[in-house]
Amino acid sequence: MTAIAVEGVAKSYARGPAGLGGRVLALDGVSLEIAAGETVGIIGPNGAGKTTLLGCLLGFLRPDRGSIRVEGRDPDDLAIRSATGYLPERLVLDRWMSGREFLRYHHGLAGLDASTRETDVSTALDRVGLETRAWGLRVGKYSRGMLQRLALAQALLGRPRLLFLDEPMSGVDPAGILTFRRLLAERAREGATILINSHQLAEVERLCDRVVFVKQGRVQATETVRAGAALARVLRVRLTAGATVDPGRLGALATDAGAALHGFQAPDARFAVADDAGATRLLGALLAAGLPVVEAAPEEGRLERLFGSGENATGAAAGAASGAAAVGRAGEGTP
Amino acid sequence: MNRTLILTLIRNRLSSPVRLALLVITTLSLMPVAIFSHQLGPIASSAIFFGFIIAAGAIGQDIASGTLQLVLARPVSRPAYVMSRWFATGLLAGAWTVGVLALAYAAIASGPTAPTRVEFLVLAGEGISQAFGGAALVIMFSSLAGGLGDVGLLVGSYIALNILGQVAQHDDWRPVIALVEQLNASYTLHLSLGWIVEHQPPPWMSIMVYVSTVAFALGVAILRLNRRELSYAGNA
Repeated sequence: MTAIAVEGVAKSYARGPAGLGGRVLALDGVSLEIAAGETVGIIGPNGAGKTTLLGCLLGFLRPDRGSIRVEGRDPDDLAIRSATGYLPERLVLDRWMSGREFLRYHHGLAGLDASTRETDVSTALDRVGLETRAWGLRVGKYSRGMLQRLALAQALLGRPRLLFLDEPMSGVDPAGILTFRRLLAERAREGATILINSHQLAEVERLCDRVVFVKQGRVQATETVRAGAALARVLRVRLTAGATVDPGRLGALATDAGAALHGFQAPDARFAVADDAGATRLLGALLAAGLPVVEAAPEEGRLERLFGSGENATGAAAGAASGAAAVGRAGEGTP
Repeated sequence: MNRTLILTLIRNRLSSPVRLALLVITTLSLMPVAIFSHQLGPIASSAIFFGFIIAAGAIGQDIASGTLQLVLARPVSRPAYVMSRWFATGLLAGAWTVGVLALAYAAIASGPTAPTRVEFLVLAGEGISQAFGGAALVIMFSSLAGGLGDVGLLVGSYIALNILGQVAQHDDWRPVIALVEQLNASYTLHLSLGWIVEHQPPPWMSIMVYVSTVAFALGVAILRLNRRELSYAGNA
């Protein structure tokens, strides 16, 4: 079942005072479908249109053209908002309240059962790992990490089935990142549809089922990251310069070791391996076959490569990457 | 209207030292006038200032700070948000007015020309109507300008109207004079309730003017907020 359907959405902003500087196109015909229960990451360079897309999905912005349906309704339908949790990038929370009061306020705004308010608020603050002594502290005195935890607690109130998170891990310490991962994975397991807008590619890769790369207001590529976890990493192996190696033999050795040869251009060979154990097996097989291996190193993550290729080539990746190529999804809740 | 929004805004206003200081200063400057003149009228007719002080920035500050995004991500409609802002600020300003009136009434009750209890109640009702009227006006301006820009719009439009009125008087432009008088009346918008004690029929015209002016101001605010886009990604 489709949870979010975006079709040909375009959005532009007026530039300069009174719009005298013309208009800037922030979204240019974006189409996207997100299934119920799917966790999708939106990545792209600054100014790509990610936040504008999120604004349209939340009903904050009206597209110039195209349509957006969330569970078959308009994004600003109150029934949709009752089921929505939102964590903004800019944490402009009500500074004059304490953290506990802030959650009580949002519990009330969300129309949740008032009789469970105190319990729900305490549970939410506890789950995001906000220290008890901070609960009564004014939000204005919170650090960036504390604000991020409070904002996540606010977004998760009432266990919403739609979660929109804009840079959720920004400014969070390592312990906080583990907590965030655990909570988001938990919501995903419970069937929530989650949309994450982030620059932290490793986190997106770890948490999401699918990644959408946006640039210049367009969807440049869609990458499935959960499927095909068998060939999760790329290992680059350098052989002695001048060594004569048959690529066919390399491919056969890789297949025997449960890996796959991605390419060979002497003296470098690139193999797809499942994980660290797979890399060890492959290297063992290469060495056992007497190949002159001098260096082996993992390549950057698939999303980094996608990001890099998207930065250099606009549009070319769109078709090619839409097939479900494989990068593994690391275990949820692991560091 | 949304109960959580109403109660939270009232708490916010009562925890703002600047607003409380302004309310206290205004109150302290009115009390001697009322006590020495043995009249509650000056206080009741100043209720609009309480409305201005409490309602200033009610919407504009949420827009400028970005907190409106989080509110509107919740199941709160934009009209409900505007109405809650108006009701909360009108209620608090009305309650403050009644409190100040009660203090002044207690101070002058023993005097020879002390107002009667009925006169007190009538003035309290007029003060409350003025507080809600003033709040509606500020809410309208607050939806048009970010931060505390509503104060600037309020003062600026009042000054501009009066300059226009003076020019119109000088050149005897009758229609403009009439228009300025009508518009100026909305800055002291209130319901006269004297007809209740004087056993007169209700002044339907002035009731209609009050209700329609409040409805117009709130309508503008709702319309403006409905059209407003919320984003830090562009010049929304």
